[in-house]
Amino acid sequence: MNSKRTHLEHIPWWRHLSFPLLTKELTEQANRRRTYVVRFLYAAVLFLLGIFAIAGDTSGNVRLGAGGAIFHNLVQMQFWLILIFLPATASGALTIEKERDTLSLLLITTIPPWSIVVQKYLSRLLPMLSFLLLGFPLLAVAYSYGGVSTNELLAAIAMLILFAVQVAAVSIFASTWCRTTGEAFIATYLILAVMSIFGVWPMTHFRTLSTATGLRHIAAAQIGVVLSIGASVVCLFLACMVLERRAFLPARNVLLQMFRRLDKFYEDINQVTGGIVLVNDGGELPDEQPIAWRETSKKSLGTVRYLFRVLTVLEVPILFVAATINLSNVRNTNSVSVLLFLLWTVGAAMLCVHASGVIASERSHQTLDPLLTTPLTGADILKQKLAGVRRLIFVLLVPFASIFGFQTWFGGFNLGYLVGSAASALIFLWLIAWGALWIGLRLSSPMKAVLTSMIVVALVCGVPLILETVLSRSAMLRELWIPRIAGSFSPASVIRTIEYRGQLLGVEDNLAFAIQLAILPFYGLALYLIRRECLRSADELLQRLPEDPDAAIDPFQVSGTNESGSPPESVTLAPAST
Amino acid sequence: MSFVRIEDLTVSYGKVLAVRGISFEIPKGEVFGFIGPNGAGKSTTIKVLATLLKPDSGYVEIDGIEVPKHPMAIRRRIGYMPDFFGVYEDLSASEYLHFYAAAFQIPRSRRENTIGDVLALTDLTEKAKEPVDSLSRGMKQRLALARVLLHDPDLLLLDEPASGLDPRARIEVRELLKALQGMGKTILISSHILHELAQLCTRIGIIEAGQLVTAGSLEEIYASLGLMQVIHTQILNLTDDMLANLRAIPGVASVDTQVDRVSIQMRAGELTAEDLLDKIHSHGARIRMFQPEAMDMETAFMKLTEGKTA
Repeated sequence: MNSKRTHLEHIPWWRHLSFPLLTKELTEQANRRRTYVVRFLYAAVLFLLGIFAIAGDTSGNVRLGAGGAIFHNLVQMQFWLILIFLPATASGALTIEKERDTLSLLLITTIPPWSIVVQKYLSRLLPMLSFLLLGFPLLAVAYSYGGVSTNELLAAIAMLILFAVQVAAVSIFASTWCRTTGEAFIATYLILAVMSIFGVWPMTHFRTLSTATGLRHIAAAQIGVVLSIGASVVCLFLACMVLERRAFLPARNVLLQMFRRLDKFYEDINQVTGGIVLVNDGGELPDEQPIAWRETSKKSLGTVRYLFRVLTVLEVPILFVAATINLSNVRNTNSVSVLLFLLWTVGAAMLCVHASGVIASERSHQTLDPLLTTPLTGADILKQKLAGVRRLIFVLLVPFASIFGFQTWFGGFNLGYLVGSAASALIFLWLIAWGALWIGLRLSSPMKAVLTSMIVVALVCGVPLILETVLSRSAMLRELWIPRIAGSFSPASVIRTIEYRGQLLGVEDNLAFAIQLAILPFYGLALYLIRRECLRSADELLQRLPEDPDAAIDPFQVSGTNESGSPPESVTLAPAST
Repeated sequence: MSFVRIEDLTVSYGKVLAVRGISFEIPKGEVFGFIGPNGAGKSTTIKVLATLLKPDSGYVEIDGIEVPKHPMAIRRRIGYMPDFFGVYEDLSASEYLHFYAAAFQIPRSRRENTIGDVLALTDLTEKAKEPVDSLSRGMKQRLALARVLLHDPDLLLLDEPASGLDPRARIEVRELLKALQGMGKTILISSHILHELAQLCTRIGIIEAGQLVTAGSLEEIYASLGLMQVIHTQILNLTDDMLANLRAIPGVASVDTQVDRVSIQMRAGELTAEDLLDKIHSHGARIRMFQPEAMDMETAFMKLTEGKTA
């Protein structure tokens, strides 16, 4: 190390500005198909949302002078897109090097740590800035409608750039600190959440700067801007400081470690009760279903005790809110409905993470191939792999049932509501599980599988609603109920309509309720088809040879194995010569 | 009769042709070494035999069963060890073996005994209760070997079983493979460490750029390449006449005298080490040392290959 430092001391600082790592990263990105797919997706989402913002539900004449609102909507969209896209690309900048054991090779070059961090930072920031340029034509359209000052336009551009700079800096810091891309991804959002609480958030400053009139507000926004810049600099500085120190972290399962600490805490507390153990996970050995055994006794989200903790976390707020409503004079069940929507969000995310990872994680840990050479059928492997997910769904059904029960209690018995709610929970939860499993079967990286599953869920929920908005612009289509029908295909719409059945008073609303109930069998059919495809093509999806249905010869009669297909009785391990 | 038969096997990954018309056979009980540089197509060929890859064309058969048509029957007959550990870090060694014993549908009543046997064979009995992630690389490799033996397969497909191991662990794995050879298992083992296979295999196949360059016993390959085998010997009553007699033995290419030994180079295929010993003895030599030098596989490999990849 000393010799390296001595060597570096002779290299003038400006020689480090040649940025070979940045060149390599940008060239690599340009060679990847994914770069163009992401760019297309970003532009598609931006322009689609932009068209909604510009088109709205008013005619062109009315929009004259209304450019301000459109402009603000577009800028907000850009902020959200930065928040979604940038951590996804930047949080893996250095963790990927750690995962591939290539960071050590970078560190022994003459590139100093600060330069590695800066080059990695720029390699993620520059493409994002080019993404931002894609949105400027839309801003120009909004500007042309009037109602937007030049200062606002400049403030928007400055704040968008500042936000990208800040998010990229936080992501790079998380990437230097964490061991895996998944951890860095989550850490980025946690740090950003903390920053937003403390006002280090350019989205807020933009609103203040564009609307504030008083000097105090402007000064506050300017301080916020300085804080954002400061936060970015601090993140990059910290990243430079910890790069070498955290370059060789051993692989660890953060969730498992957290649960183990929690276990120890509970075990210490349990000493008070004399160490009573109600459920003992993992004591048994596998019987006939080894994969299901491992999924339900060795995985964090599969064991009874961990699932019980999840259930407690989900159920307690529901019981608390229900008790509060029960005690109050006016029974407003809106808060229970909000809890239901939150439960759906949390449940869908948990299922995406768990179900998409069951096969993808085996692939990434290189444990799948040995499993595929066992005589278990592909369908059996998949069914057993979902044993933990099945348990998770049963656990999620408890708070769902609680909410449906409380709504019936508070709002009166309604068979349609109960049947619709129960069916929606059963169908959608299993649909997410099988859909995420199917995605996980097709992708090799667990992170990609989880993100893709979540994006697909978001698209399935969002696209019908966007279609509804677009189609609603036509009076003729509105008369034919086509926009409403299109929107009804969104699971979010199904859940919302069933939940608010108490507020449906008119004939039209009852018809909407009936349409939503009629959509459920459609998703039931989708669930059936996805499940059937997974089980039928299990061997191909798992990437091993399927049994040839046309094979005429009974292989068990060729030699060795008995008719039932089990191995011969005697298992001899002694040398043949003896 | 051949236990493994591959004819004109072709496998591609998209546009890349990984295996181009390979053909070879392995008789039952033989240890076949698959040698080739990285990216030559060794692992791809083994994966086809392990029912993990579908061949584009060609015929692949194990124990008289066509692999692509009856993969499930094949899986009961093979033990596949990939070129990575493939072990679950969250289980103990014993749990890991119970997991695979259940996956191979070994009756519950027999599992304890079978697992005890394979643990003893792989010298892991003491580590049965230890978590897998606490085992050394060598132990993990032995555990993976224990796993492939659980269902007593006839054919072992071992993809670079000694790669990444330290010398001690490598020797332990080699001794274990010799024990399995003694049990009459048919073994297909791939490696790019040449001397490792020379000590273990009855036959070898050299593969490069997806094509089989040559296959046969070591002696056959040396003979086909005209390579020499060197014997180091110490003769107590060495005289010039005796040296002349040694040089006159048919098959001997040259005889060099060194300070402490005589090095005899003989043409592989024309003379065996045993015959040479008899002939030296018949000339009245009093022999203190007779040591055949390990065959120079590296020379053979370099002669046969050109450093291409598929």
